[in-house]
Amino acid sequence: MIEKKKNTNKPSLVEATGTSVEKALKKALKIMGTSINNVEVEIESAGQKGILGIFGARKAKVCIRRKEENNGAEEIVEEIARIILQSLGVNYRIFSDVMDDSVYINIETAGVDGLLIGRKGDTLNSLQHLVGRIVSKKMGGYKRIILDVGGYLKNRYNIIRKKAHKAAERARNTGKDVGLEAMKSSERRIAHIELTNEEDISTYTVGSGELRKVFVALVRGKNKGKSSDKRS
Amino acid sequence: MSVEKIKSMVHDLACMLVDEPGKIKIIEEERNNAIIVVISVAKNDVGKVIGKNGQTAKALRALVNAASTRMGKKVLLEIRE
Repeated sequence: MIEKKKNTNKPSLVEATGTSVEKALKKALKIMGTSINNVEVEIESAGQKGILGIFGARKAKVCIRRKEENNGAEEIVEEIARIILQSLGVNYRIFSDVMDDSVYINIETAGVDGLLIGRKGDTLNSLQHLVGRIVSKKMGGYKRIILDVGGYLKNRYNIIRKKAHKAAERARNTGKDVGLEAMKSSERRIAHIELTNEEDISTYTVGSGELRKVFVALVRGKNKGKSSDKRS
Repeated sequence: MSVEKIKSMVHDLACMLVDEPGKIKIIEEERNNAIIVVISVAKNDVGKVIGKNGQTAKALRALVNAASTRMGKKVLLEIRE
């Protein structure tokens, strides 16, 4: 039954039994998919070996509880930033914040922001990928982390929000579908989310890979006759 | 001297990615005016360093690139078993 928990979600509390406390603990950690550093351990019963390991033997039982997750993510990101920026030999500062369902972490460096962002944010994207990989490995669960350098992403997202609204306005005026420029998946996500509140506007995407674009369309509502002249 | 810094950066990052950090070895080679940092990891960890569609390898290379442009040398990253 405990095995099932592993697949359905990331449990924050796991109980496990074993022939010794050590074995029970190992088992519990495996189920949670994390290391001893990330949990608080409670030994519920130490267990008894019994005669010949059979008679009167009692299994050891432990209970582990996952430590506060946000702090963990920030600490890991700080560690990664330290590794990278020390090898570049620059000073930096880290700010973190909670944004909706994710942790927003901004690194400000002394003069190498551009180097870490890269062309169109490519290097930043790579960094983001690495951080995501390491955090999910260390904490044993997915956590949405938005990693930013020098406020680049915040800026970029604001521009995309503005462009999305402009496109919606044009779609209303012309009745045609308006395409936004090709963007990364994380950026398209911002555009989609921004327009979910506009009830007369719907969004969809066309293209694949680097060329995938968000299109903004006017919902033609109850007037069924007109909605059939949709261009592809 | 600064290549040492890149090597330690790659080492420390790889340690956080793999299951057997003890087996990571980093060596340095030189070929056609370029320095090549070679990272070798345990057989089961190769996939973790490379990642899906080479995503993780791409990320590591991007960082090596960023560090190497700063010191004005060409540094490449190679991954071996």
